Amino acid sequence: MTTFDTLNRRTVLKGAAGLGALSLLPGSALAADYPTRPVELICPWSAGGGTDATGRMIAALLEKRLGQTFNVVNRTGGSGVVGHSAIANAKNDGYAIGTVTVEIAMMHWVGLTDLTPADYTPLGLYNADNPGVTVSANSEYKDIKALSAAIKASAPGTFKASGTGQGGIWHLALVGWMLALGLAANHVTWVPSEGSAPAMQDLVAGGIDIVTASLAETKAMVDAGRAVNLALMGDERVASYPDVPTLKENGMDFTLATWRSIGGPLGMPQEAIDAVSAALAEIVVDPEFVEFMSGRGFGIKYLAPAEHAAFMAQTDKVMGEALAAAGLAT
Amino acid sequence: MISLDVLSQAASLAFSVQVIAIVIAAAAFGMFVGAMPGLTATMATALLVPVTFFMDPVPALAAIVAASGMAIYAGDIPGALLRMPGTPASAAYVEDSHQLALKGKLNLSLGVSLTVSSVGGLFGVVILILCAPVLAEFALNFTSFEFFWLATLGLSCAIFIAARDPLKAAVSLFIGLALSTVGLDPASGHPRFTFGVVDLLAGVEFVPAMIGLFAIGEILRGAIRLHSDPVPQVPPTRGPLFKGMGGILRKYPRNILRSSALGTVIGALPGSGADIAAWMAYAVSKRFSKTPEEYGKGSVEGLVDASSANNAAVGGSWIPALVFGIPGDSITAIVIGVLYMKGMNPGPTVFLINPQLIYAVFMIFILTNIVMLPLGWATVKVARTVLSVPRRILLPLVLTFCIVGSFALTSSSFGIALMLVIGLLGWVMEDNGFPMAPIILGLILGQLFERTFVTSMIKADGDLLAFFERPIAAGLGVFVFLVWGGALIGAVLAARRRRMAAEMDARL
Amino acid sequence: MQIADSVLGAVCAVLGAYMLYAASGFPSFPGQPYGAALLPSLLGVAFIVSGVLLALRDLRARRLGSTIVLFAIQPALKDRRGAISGALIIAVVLMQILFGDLIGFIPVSLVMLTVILLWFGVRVLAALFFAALGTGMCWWLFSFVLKVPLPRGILDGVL
Repeated sequence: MTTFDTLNRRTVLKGAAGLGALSLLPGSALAADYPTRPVELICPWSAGGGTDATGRMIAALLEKRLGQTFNVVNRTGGSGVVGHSAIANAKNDGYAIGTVTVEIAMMHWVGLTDLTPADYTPLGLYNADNPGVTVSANSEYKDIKALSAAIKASAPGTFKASGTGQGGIWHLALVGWMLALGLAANHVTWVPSEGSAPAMQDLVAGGIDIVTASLAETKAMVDAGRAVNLALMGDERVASYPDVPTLKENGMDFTLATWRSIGGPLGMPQEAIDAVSAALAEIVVDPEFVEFMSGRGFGIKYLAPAEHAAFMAQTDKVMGEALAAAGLAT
Repeated sequence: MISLDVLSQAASLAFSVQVIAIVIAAAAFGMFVGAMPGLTATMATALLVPVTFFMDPVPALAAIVAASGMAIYAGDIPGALLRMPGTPASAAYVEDSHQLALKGKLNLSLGVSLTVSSVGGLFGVVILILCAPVLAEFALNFTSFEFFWLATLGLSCAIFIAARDPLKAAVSLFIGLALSTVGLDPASGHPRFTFGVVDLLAGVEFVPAMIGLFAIGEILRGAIRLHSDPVPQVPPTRGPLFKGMGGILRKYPRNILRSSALGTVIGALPGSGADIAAWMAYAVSKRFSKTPEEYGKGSVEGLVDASSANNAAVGGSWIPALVFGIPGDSITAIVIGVLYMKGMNPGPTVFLINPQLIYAVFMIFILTNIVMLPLGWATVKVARTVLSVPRRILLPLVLTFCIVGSFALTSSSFGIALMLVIGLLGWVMEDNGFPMAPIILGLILGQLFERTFVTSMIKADGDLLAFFERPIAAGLGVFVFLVWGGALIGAVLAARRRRMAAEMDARL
Repeated sequence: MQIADSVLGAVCAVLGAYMLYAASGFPSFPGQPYGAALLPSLLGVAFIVSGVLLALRDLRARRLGSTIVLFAIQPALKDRRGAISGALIIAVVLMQILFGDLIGFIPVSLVMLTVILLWFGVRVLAALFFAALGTGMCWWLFSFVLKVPLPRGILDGVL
């Protein structure tokens, strides 16, 4: 009661902004009866991160097309287990969907959860990014060939690398690269970190030698001239970094991608599946979305639900093998 | 140096009617969120993200700057009035501000924290503007070794803060640390103490825990004693809020300067923010105070130090975020996301590519810290009338906000359950003389402490000497040992003195 | 609730022992003696040591002649009204945890706030008013302003 004064001022403004945004929304002719009320988009990662940002963009564009509010709900923690469980266990009426990320194909192998990609209704994949190999600008290794040769010649454990937690996607990137070099999975010691930002800090401060993380995550330090991308673990070079060669070009046959997609619990009504996936197919070519993604350094890769399901199943298999090779699977 | 042209462009961006309106609205929002036990500064920022999504870069960042700065100050208000810190950054000195208020010095308590918050905030901003690149460079020298010593130093603050019963304070600290080990192990990803509960994999969410420890405990006490033996209330206070503030500023210029500088540096170090800054400043203040016995019983000096430090940290935490895209604290972690979203990719280039945008944000920073004074004054005026609302109505309403706030943090009833369990634990503990503050300290620093130790050991292949190999790490490490050594010698001497006194008594 | 230091010390020691036991099952880091078990083990030892120290206090006090009360309840909680008030606060929170998702935030909050306000001695009309005010403010603030969807429950189709 004492706070009414402050509340009103703010709400009037917010209300006005909200109304303004809503009035711009054209009515949608897509699905007749879905959605009739706000939809929750559960995000397993925290506000401000990559998945959250792309999820919010998609939510805003879904809202534009389907004419209902899409609320992004961050259910974070437990390396994504909490949020992914929340999506799979949500009421399957189509009013709770979420961003399903590559971790779903990994967590069950290490025994964190029983959930697998098969526990979700795929609604479409919208992003895939390859990790790079990044070193400090002070590093004596100026290209991937020199670095690979030095690693091969070194005693196991001499080099230290980081980028995410133990058994995380970027750890697997390192493992895959080591295996492609014909070395043991732990030839370069993995230093677990809480995400790529602290790893980049440690890299530049001289605490570790290598970071394997997506180019979007190394961008700030690379642009600042503090770190250098030596290679990309993709099939081909990316437009934003045309000078960064792939591992393949240098005779190391390994590629890996992290991906983000929209999914829901099993047993969603067909009209909801159709409405969301059709809208998503439009969103990925929407100039607003394309500009946003390239601005943050995210790649766009779209797969319709059927291919999305097959892709998830395939990733699941590859991850299982990689985790086993790294000695991390249970 | 920047050209006048850029500055005038920045000024026209910052001082448009729209931006000013947003700053004021967001500031009011921040005041409200901060003043509401159960809603925090980080939450204010996270909740602003969807709103800023549709704004231009400058108003979007203006909203976040205004809301987060205000929320950090406003957290002091319920701390003083109800002994429930509104944000974690106010937890360090909640006892002092509340005790002052109970003595009828509510105006002094809130006036001091408002004034020094504004001064500290301005200090942080000035450093941000002048020294961002240099300080960011300093912060970039920190590897896990340096952070380990920093976390240890933070935990050592408990030695200085623990007042009446060191043993019970230590147990409180251990409980905070133990709570921080719940969930996935920060290094290996192994689940610990989760008892098969999926939500516990995420660990003990800090904010519901704090709401539980402070607000739920206080509400329970209030409710139980409502009929028979009401909890002492803050007496109604009148009169101008800023009376005597000039005197305070003249009396403690060195404290304000020291704590603002400390706050800015701690804010600038990635991963430590306003909350840790407040703790450290409070501990340093008590250590060097001429009246350390007043701390925890209503020390104005401690309030001056801690309250200026936490607002200085707000500006400081933007330094690594802007220059290197590394979050200084949980608020700037969100800010970085917004920067990217608006195409202002953080990095040294942010000052080169769109300098007018950054300088516009800096101007808003300054504006916010000035606007804080009248807005804070108004909020305190409104908040004081809370006192005239009978407890029997106030308690249930505050409880509802606590429930909803805890829910919002996890977006599930798990947050509420966490709040209740930890609240009950805290309530029993406090009744038995265990202080609450060290629990919070342990919970804040536990993960940083453990993670940096394990990763450092991995990097050093188990060689403990590596903790002293880098110059800054060695300096910090030696400092930690000096602090501990000093405290131990002090404790031994005190014990011997006590024993000798006891023997004398026995002989007599 | 006042509990004797010896009892608290015992609780601490048991907690410490449990942490040590649980930590013994945590894997250590590949090639490292340190890992997930390190901090819990250290804390386990710390709890046991401080538990013993706490218990020793009571023993020393008894040796000096004071009587130790193992368990005492403060007067306000002995008063039946006080105990019910405390229990009601816990009940309000519990109801929201247990039934919030199912029935929805609004009905649970309305009912519980009214009950507790009435128990606290607020008149019927005022209690209803403040219950509606508190519930409405939270709902409006979170669902509309802050975009945090609170559970709708039975009002799913209505709102």
